[in-house]
Amino acid sequence: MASSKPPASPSPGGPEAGFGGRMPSRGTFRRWRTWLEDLPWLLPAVAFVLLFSLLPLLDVFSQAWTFGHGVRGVIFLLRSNNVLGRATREALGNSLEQGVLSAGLASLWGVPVGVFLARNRFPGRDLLLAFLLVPFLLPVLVVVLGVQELFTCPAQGACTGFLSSLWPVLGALGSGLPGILTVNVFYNTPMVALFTVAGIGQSSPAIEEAVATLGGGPWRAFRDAWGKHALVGGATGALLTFLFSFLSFAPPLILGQYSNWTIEDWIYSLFQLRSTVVSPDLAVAVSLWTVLFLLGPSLLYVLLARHARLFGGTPRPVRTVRLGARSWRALPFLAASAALVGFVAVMIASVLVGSFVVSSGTTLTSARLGTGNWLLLFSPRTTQALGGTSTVGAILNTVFFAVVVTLLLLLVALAAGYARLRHPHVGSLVDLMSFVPMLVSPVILALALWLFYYGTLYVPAFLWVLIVGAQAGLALPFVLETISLALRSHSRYPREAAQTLGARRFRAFLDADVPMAKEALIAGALFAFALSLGEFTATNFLYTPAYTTLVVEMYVLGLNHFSATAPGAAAAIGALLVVISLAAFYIILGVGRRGHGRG
Amino acid sequence: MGEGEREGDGERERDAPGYLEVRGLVARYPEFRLGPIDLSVGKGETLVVLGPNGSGKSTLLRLLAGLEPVERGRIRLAGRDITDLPPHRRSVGMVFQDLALFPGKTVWDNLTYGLVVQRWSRQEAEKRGEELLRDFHLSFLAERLPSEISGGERQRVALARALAPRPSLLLLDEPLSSADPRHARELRGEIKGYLRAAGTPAIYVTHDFDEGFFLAQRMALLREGRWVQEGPAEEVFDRPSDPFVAWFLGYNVLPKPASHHGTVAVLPEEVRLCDPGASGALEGVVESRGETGSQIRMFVRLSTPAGPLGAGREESPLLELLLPRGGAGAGTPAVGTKVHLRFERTVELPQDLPPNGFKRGFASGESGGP
Repeated sequence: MASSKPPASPSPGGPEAGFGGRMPSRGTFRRWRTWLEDLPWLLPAVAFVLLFSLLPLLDVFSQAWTFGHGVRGVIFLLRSNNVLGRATREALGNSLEQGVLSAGLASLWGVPVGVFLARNRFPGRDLLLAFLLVPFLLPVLVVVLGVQELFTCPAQGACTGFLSSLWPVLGALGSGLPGILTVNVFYNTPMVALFTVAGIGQSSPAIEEAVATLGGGPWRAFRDAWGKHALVGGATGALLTFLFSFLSFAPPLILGQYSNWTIEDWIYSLFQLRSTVVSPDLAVAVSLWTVLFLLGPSLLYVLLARHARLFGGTPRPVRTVRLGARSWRALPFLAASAALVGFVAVMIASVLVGSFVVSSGTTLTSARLGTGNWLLLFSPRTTQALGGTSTVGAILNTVFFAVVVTLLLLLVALAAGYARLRHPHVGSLVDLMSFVPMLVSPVILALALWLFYYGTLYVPAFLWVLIVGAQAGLALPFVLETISLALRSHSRYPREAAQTLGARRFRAFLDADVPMAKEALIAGALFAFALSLGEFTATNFLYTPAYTTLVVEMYVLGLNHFSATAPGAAAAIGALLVVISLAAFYIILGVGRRGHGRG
Repeated sequence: MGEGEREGDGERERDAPGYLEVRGLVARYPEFRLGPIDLSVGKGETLVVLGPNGSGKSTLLRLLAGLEPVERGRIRLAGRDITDLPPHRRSVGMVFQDLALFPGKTVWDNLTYGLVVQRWSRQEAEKRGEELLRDFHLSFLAERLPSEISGGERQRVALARALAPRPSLLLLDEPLSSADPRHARELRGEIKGYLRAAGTPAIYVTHDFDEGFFLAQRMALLREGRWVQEGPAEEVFDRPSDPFVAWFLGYNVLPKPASHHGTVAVLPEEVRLCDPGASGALEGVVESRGETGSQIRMFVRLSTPAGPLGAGREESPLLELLLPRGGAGAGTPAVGTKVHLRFERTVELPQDLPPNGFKRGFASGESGGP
C-alpha cells in the first residue's frame, strides 16, 4: 500500500533505496536535449529569414559602412549643393511630409471610426470590422488606379474622373501630394481604426463598470477605463502609417512628379542610374541611412504594439452600447465610419466599372461602356508592350508566385509556430526577425537581394527564387502573426492529452493544435496569396520580362509615365485583381464566421 | 500494449505495494519549487492529492506524465524507470482540468485516438472502443462532436479516452472543477465506479476536501510544493498532523487553552453550546448565523481570556459551529448574544499558530511549531 512515512515530516530529500545511485540534476541537460530535438522545426523559419532578409541586408549595409559610403557618402550628399544632393534632401523631406500628413489624417479619421466600432453594438458590426481588411488586401496599384478613376483632372482638358467630372474641385485629389495622401489615407485609415479597436479590446469592462457604479460619467470612464487603451491603439496605428507612408513607393511614382518622390523612389532611381550617372553604392548608402533613420520609429512601433498587446494579447469582451435612435452622441462617429466604408466601396466600384469604360474622347461623357479594355488585355499589342510576355503568361507567373509563396509561408509559419509553442523565447526572436523585411521597406529589401545574389540567384534561371523570396519575406510578418497568434491562443491541454495518449510531440501538434488553428491557417494562406498577388515594389525592382506579373503589367501598360500605351488594359487588370482580392476577403470572412460558430 | 497485463489483473496484484514509486522528485521554477516528493501508489489504488491553489498539485501530475522536466528524483512505474521517458512512452493516462477533448473530432475519434496513435490493430481498437462506449454509456453519442454533448457526457468521454489504451497509471487533474456542484456530486460517484472497475491505479488532484475524501483510499496534502501529510483517508482526516492540515480539512484551529504552546483543532460539528458553568466552557459572542439546508451555521467570536488565547493577536479566534436545525440546534441564539461553548472532541497538535495571524500565516508560508 502506501509508503509508511510519519505524518508532518516532509521528505528531506527522499530515500534512494531501490533506485540505484545518486540522483543527478537533469533539468539543464533535458532542456538542451529538447532544444536539439526541436532544432529542425526552427530551421525553416530561421533559414528563410536569414537567407532572404537578414544576411543580404547585413552584408549590403556592412559594405556601405565599411567603405565609408554610409557615413561620408551620405553626409557629403546631404550637404552638397549639386543635383544629387538637392534631390536627396528633397526626397527625405517628401518622405517626412507624406509620413506625418498621412499619419495625422489617418488618425483623425481612423481613431473615431475605431472608437465607434469598438464601443457600439449594432447589426452588421462584425461584417463592418471585417470589411476594413479589404483595403489591406487590395494591391497598391489598384488603389492608385482607383484614385485616378475617381479624381483624374488633367491640367488641360476636362476632368474625366467619376467624381471629379461631377465636382471638379475634387480633381485636386487625383494627382500630386493630395493624390498620394488620398492613397495613403485609403490604405491606413482602416488600419488605424482596427488598431484602435484592438487597443480598446485590452481595456477592462469591469473597471469601466466600477467607474459607472461609483458615479463616474462618460468622460470619467474614458479617462480612467478605456481612453488610454484607445489612444495607445490609435498611436500605434499612426506610427505604422508614418512608416508605411515614409517608405511609400508606387503612389508618389505614379501620381506625383519628381518633386513628390519619397526616399524609396529616390533609392530606386539611384539604382536605375547606377552605372551612368552615380556610383552604384550610393543607393546602398542612402538605404542604410534610411534604415538607421527609421530604426527608432520602427522599434518604438514594435515595443508599443507588444506593450499594448495589440498582437498576441487576449482580447476581453468589450463593454458596448446598443446603438439606437437616441444615440445622438455617436452620430459624428457613425458619420466618420459611414464615410470610410463609402470611400472604400466607391474606390472598389470605380475600378470595377472603369474596366468597362472605353474612352473615345477627353471627357467622361464621351466614354461608353464596353468590353474593349478586356479584349485589349489579350491582344498582341499588349504582348508586344510587355516585351514578349502575354497577359496569359503574366497570369501564370502571378499564380505561380502566389502559390509558391503561400506554400512556403505556410511551411515556415507552421514550423515557427511549433517551435514557438515549445520554446516561447526562441519563438519571440523568430517573430522579431520576421518583422525585419516589413521595417526595411520593399525597395531596400529588393536592392539588398539584388546585390547579395547578383551572379548567383540573380540569373534568368533562378530569378524566380529571388522574387518568391522577396514577396514571401514581405508577407511573412502578417502570415506569421495570424497563424502564430491562433496557435498560441488555444489551450495546450489537447496537445498534452494527445501526448499522454501515445502521440509523439509533432504528431500531437498536428492532431491537436493544427485543427484548432485551421481557420487561421486558411486566413494566413489567403493573406499570403493576396499579398503576393499584389506585390509591386520588390517585384518591379527584380523582374525581367519573362517574369512579368499582373501588377507589373498593369504598371507598364497603364501607370508608368513613360511606357503607358494601353491604360484600358491596366483598368481591366485592376478589376481582375479587385475580384480576386474580394474573393479572398469573402473566404476569410466565411472561415472566420465558421470559427466563431464553433466557439 | 498492456492487454495481457490487464487481463491478469487480480485482487492480489491490486494490493501489491509500490506499483508507482516516486523518490526525491524535485522540480524548480523561477518562483516555485516542488518537492522533494516521495510517494507510492499500489495497483488499483486511488491516491487523492489535496492542497490549496498554487500548492503544486497539478505540477506534480505534469511531472508524473512527463509534461514537465524533472530536476531531480526518480519515477518508477510497473517496475520500469520512466523518469526520462517522453509522455508518449510512459503509459500514463491523464484527464485534464478542462478535459482537453479534441474539438474537431467526434466522441468515437476522441475515444479511439490513443489506440490509433499506439497502433492497435483496427479490430482490437474497434472492440475496445465499443466496450468503452457501452461501459461509459456513450453509445448514442459516438458521432457527436464534443460541442454537441453535455458537460457530464464530456467528463465521461475524457475519462474513457484516458482509460482507452489501458494506461498503467491514471492522473486526474481536478476534472470536476468546471462542473456545477450538483453534477459534480453525481459525477464523482460515477468516477469512483469507473476507477474501481478499471482497476487502474490513479492519482486524483483536487482542492475540494469533500470530493477528495469521497474518492480517496489514501490521501496526501501538499502545501507550497511540500508533502505535508499522507496516509489512509480516514487517518488523515481524524488525525491531522499540523494546524495547516486541520484548517484545510475544515477544522477550527485555535491556540490550546490554558497553555503557552500548541493548538487544538475541532470540527464545526463537534462544537456545542453549553451552560456558563460547564467545565472548560469558552465564552464568545455570536457574530453571524445562517441556515444551510438541514443545518445552522454559526460564527462565534471567542472572548475567553484564558491562557494565551488571543495573546499577542489583534483579534480573538472566530469559531465555526454546525448545529442541526432541530434538536440541539433548536432555539439557537441570535446575533450579538453571548454564548458558551464546549468541544465534544479535539485534536491536540504540538505546533503553535503562526504569530501574525492564522490565515495570513498560512498564506505566507509561515509555519508554527515550537
